Amino acid sequence: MINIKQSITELWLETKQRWFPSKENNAVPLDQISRFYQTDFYQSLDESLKSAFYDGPLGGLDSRVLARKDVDFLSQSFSLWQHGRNLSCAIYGEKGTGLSTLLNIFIHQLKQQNQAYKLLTLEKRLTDEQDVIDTLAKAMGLTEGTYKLDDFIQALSELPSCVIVLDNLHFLVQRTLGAQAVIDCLGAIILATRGHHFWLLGAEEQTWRRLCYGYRFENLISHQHHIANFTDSEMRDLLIKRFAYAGFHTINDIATDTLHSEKSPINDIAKRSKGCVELGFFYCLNNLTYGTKPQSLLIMPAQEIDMGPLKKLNKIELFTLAEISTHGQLSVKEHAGLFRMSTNESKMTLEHLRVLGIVDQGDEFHNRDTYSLKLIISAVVIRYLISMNYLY
Amino acid sequence: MDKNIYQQFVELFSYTTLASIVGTLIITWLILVGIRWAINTLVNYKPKYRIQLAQTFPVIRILLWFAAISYIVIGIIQPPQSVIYASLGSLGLAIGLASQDAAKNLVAGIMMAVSPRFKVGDMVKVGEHYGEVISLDLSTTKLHTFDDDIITVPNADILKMPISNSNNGELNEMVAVDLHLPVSIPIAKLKSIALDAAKCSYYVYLKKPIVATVFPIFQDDFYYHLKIKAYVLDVRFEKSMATDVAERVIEALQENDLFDGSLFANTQTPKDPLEIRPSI
Repeated sequence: MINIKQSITELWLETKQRWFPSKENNAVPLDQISRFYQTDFYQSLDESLKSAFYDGPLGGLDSRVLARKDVDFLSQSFSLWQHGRNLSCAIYGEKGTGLSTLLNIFIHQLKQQNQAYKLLTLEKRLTDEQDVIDTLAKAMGLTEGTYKLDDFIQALSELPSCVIVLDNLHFLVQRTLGAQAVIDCLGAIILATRGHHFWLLGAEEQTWRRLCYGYRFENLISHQHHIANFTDSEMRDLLIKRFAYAGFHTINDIATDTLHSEKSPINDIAKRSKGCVELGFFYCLNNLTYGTKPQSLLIMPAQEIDMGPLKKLNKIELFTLAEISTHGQLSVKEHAGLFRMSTNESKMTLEHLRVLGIVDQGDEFHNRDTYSLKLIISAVVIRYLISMNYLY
Repeated sequence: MDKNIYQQFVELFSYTTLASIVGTLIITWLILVGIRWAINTLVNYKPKYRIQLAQTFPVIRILLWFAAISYIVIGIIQPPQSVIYASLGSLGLAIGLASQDAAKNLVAGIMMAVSPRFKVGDMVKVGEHYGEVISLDLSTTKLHTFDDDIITVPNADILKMPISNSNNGELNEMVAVDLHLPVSIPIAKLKSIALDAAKCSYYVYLKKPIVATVFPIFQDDFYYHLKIKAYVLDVRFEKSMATDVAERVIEALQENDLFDGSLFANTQTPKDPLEIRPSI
């Protein structure tokens, strides 16, 4: 007996597929992206090609991070401070836009000028006022545990004038009682000593937004600079330069020297990567094969990312991702406190996200108990959370 | 003369004309279904703009039906003036007698579409009912309450009643959390904990200010009335945020040995010691 309903459904699905072909069949699953670097294909690549995808700046190759406006902002601010302006600086931008590189370039310039500096990379969440003072005291070479706020400001003011670079600001973000006291303490120290020391802070964009929205952090810092995302042409140029650096001068039978045009095969990849270098690397790796000629590559058109796993997440999991993106990382204990659930429930939530390939667990060298957004897809996930109104 | 008009009337509705009318109505209906599907798809794709997207449908629907009916009358039927007057007279009388309330609701629906008092997605209080507006039809408005009930309110009634709109087209809205606490708690500490606890809640929209106020009240005994006003990230999390903030404040007070919860066991306390309600 013919099942009319089933027949109609099949006919509809067939017609739908013909007229509106599902993108999911062609899309790259989210977990495939996150596991790509463990695949046999990636491991089989020769070392020279792998070097093109090095997760960091390659000397003077990455012209984008040497964009004059970013470097000039720091140089000009520093110059103003040297001429007696009472100021402090902050730079912020999305992951992978060259924040750390910019700090390194500035530090390099300081070294060339024989300017004293202290690089303070926060490695744990600061819990209270005393913790802030002790952490800064240790970094500045003062004795820990002996100062109260006023004494510490006095001691800091008596030290020789220098540049203090504070990185990993995400460790200041916390949704716990007493978080305001931590910010207030750091703010008091910066405001009281910024005439004597040049304070430079670096933060990821979501962290910076949270600090500003939650604690009015922008009031503490006089000069702020947003590092813009890579534009399509910047991304295209960066990828081409990296291939050339790795020794591959021909892509799709076109010399890399002549690839700097809108019709370049890498242009599509540059557009899809939305300013995220890691995503650009993934698209390149996922679509390339060695060419027939020596030192040549073939790059196929890039595919879309299947956001299915994100769409299936529940409210708490989406909030978890939002909080991880602002906190930089979350431990099971921190998650349990923030979401007011048991540690087992927190562990389950975070592990589920890890299994889906959205978050990474700390390795044996770092805290295994912590989870952070997988770098390669963090830009995609953050954009999704903003569009879903879980991040702002 | 009456017979003449009747003959003209019958002649107007040939099989072809009737088929055209039915066809126009079906096409209009299909277009509306398509628009609704497109809006729903867009809402799923960009939930952040769901209120703005949803508010367009009631207006589009009225315009489309108006256009379709105008086309049927002017383009398909093309009646002589005498038939139009006779039909309008009969129709007006019929509508006036048989469907006073329905006509009122319909007119109210059109007025609400032209000059909206709230939009689909807003959290509103209509009479005793508080909930999210899930549909703005021509004659009725549907609310989805926090008890998961669907309340249907005739549009004519909505025009008569005062309406409290909590978010007025935005996704975030202010939520007030009221707590009655013993006077033994130092006020400065209480306010500090209240503000900190509100910031700890992941439902709170930190882009907008959080305010905590404390008033002494007397009802059999003296109490502090703590009111925390904060914005919720999304109107749908309103109750979740209110509960979360209240629980965090109570837990923080207990952790600081400022409150042992005995107030809730005291029969002389106000009837509703933990009152959580949206700010409206």
